[in-house]
Amino acid sequence: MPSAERYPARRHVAWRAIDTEALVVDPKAGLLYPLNSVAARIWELCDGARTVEAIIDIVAEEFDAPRATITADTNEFLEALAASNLIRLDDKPQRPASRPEGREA
Amino acid sequence: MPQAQRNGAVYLDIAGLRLRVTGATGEARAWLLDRYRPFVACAAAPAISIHLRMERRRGRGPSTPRLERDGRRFRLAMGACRATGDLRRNSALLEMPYSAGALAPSALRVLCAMFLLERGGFFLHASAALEREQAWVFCGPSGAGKTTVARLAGERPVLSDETVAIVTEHDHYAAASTPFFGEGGPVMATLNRRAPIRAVCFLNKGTQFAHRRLDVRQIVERAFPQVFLPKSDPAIAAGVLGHLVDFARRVPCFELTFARRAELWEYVHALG
Repeated sequence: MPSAERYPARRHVAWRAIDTEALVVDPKAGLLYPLNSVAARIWELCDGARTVEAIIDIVAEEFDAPRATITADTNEFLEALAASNLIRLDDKPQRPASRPEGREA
Repeated sequence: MPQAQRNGAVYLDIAGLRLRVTGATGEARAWLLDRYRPFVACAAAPAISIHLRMERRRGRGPSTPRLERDGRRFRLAMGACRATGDLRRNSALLEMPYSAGALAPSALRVLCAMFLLERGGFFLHASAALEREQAWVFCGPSGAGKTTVARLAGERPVLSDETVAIVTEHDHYAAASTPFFGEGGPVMATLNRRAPIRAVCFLNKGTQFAHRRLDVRQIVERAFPQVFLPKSDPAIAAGVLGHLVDFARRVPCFELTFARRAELWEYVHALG
């Protein structure tokens, strides 16, 4: 489980938001991963400026589910993203981009 | 004699990409003119220059194509072929073994795909046929039935049984034929035509006919693996994704389960 104090940051991979969902390219395999709306929101929040705890706070506020479930699901998802090398879990925050690169202007 | 044959260069028009191919002489040049015959064009205003450097002996490269983009330049390693390209200058150098023919279709397809991507288009693993000057496109991985559908087209002109170029044209998308045929052989690449797309069907083989309309995410998810380009480079993958999202918002797409019967086209008509 990633520490609540770490800062998840998307690696430089291609992705695209489609309405509330998203598609992320795994560069190693050249495959496309579809993300549902909750996963897409977590992915978008992985900007290197927020801790795992802060991401869980935002998701708990925006989605109607028990906090314990959201915490467990978010941790599991972040772990999977880190294992696939799609995010880093940094010790220090980064400055977020003004607009997430997978979002259309 | 057409201007294309008068001097050393060979001019090709593939999906609107006007190519000037140099470096092939003698037998190699004759092979080139024969292999790409329907796509040989006149010399007017070539937009992209491709120079071939053929070597008698050349070691094997990676079996999985490797394509990297660095700004407006790109590098390709594919089997025994190596290429570098410049998208701003519209030029590429392709180094390849002499034995692979004058211009290996698989390498040319990747080069063209890079230039097409810059122009908002892409090559789709698909067959296509024309009806009333509109293109029906049938997409899927190997074995999905692309060539089968092309063979069931009857009198309808077939654009390709393997590789269809999706190009932007004014305010719509069009499908264009390519010289990159599949198991149907050269007979599936005898036309050089394009037409607005009526619909795209993602194929499944079955014993009955069935279909469902796909939403944007479903279309992109299905089409992405069928775009002919190595996608491990984030800039290239992002370009493909961007074009596909726009395409999916503007072109009706269906999942089509089909039986290998002539009624296929009657069924397809009911979709549109």
